[in-house]
Amino acid sequence: MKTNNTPRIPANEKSPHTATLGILQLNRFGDLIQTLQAVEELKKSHPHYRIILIGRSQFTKPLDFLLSKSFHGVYHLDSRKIFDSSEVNGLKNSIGELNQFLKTLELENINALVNLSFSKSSSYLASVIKSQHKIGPFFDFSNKMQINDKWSQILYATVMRGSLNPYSLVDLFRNIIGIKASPASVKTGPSLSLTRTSNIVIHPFASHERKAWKSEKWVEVIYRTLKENEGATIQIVGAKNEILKSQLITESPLLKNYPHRIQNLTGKTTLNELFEHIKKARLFIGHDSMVGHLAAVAGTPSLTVSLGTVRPQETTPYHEKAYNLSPRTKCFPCFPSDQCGFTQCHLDIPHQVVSSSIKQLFDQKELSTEWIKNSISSFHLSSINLHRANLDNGQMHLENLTEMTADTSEVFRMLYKITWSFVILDSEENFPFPKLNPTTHRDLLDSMTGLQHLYELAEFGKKYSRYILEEISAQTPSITKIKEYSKKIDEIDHLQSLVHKTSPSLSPIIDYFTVRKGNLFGENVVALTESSFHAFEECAHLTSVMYELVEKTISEHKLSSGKSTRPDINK
Amino acid sequence: MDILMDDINREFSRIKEKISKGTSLDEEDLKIILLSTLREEEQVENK
Repeated sequence: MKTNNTPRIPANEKSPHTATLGILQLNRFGDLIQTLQAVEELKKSHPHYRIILIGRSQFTKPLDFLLSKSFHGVYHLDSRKIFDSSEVNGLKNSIGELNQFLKTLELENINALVNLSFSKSSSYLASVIKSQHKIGPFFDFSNKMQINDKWSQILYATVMRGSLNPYSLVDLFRNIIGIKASPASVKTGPSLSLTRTSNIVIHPFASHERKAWKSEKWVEVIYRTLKENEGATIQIVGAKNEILKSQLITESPLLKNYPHRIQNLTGKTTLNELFEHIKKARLFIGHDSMVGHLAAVAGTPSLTVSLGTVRPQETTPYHEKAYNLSPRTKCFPCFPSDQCGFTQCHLDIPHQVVSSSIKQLFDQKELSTEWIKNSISSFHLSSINLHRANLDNGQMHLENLTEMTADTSEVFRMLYKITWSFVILDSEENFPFPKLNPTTHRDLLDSMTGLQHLYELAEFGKKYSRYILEEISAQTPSITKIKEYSKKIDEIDHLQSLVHKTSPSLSPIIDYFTVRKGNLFGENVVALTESSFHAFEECAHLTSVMYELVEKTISEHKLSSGKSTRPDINK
Repeated sequence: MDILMDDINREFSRIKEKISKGTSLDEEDLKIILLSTLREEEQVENK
């Protein structure tokens, strides 16, 4: 395992670094690129930190041209090598290879290890890597997963469970690492340089069929794009396993007059070469995949067509010139486990909207609410959302350019963003009041009952935690009473899970609280009960802030049935 | 015959017994679980 791993600075050479931070990212290309974007700010604000990356070689090596610039060291975990000949030689061989890898990492003297992958393997790897501090999930010696920091708990409770996480993954990674990004620093450099060609790079594929249109729709988009933009050349990009799919597009009879203006690069480029093409291109169009994240790093304007299981707010390329087109289909975004034979969301985005957007962006103009009003037919508009990435406040916020009212999830995501920022980051977000429709109004009203229940349960939890502490500090503590109070706390936990069933929009708070309670601090009853008290206290705080926001939003909605005079929600 | 799987299965039985007895695992046990997880992921990716 020692080959190809970037060596530690030799001991006799004076290192300028005061601390070493190990970032563990075992996931695929897209997550690696978003991790890289997250640490950029840390490098600027803490140049004295040595930042190393631990990833899987099949994903880190092809991206080495980018990763080696962002990290002081990249360690490639090569599972193929670990299991090479192990079917014959058995476990001993694999353990030997793993130990060698861990030994190399040990030389780094990692001060803090941050696991950003949240997979089972990464959590076990995090548990065997030596580090003074561990952030993110890891397993303890009872084989129980530990997540001790709040932002990892939020990620685990929201990203892994539903679609109500309001943050981009890049921002979540930043928050977990503890990076405070300033508005100026997250803004990327000039994206429309004069040296750009008239190429439009299109990646019409995705990792799952549900996330990508069939070739026919892309043929329509490409046909209209070539017809309406005389100077444009299309470059179709993709991996080797997408060659056949790309040929279905390029060999379509509709495109037979344009062979000289279509370049099929599918399966023909390394990631480095692909990056160079994107860097020179005027525009990138595609589904949710790592190519969009490469476009963000290259500073190339992009339009992502999000379908199926994709959550635009999490994975839209982190760049100020990134746009996202998503369907307003009721079941969007779905879960990989959901049955779907019809893919209604694929039909709900008309290809005409994509080609009209391409024309506007190719002419180096912005997509705006005004442009949508004048250029997109109302019939097409009713089934889509078009968002623009806004990095004005140091984090990414997706701004909806259509004037359609937000759906319930979108309204809740906004309220959650304000709540998490206020309670966890102690900072205030300023958003305008969301416009409500009868459905969102009813859903918000319903959630108030759930929030009241949650608040009352949290207050009971605080009370019984306090009773336990008082009983323990009594001269003759009663074990029976302590057990009785503990039982009450178990009942409270159970009742909270019932609120989950009646108010699914409150699941982020309930799930976060469950994760928080599962990771209490302390090695004795007193410390654990104190930690439990603080968890209930935070739950009460979260629910009261959320309740207030819901209440204000509803009042504003009632007022604005006439006229709205208050500009933002957070006052 | 896959010797690795035989080894992993045997070690897993031992680890399960430890867990059922409430005995703490050690670093070597966690490494075995890690290898088994990596192996599973490798096989899924190669499909």
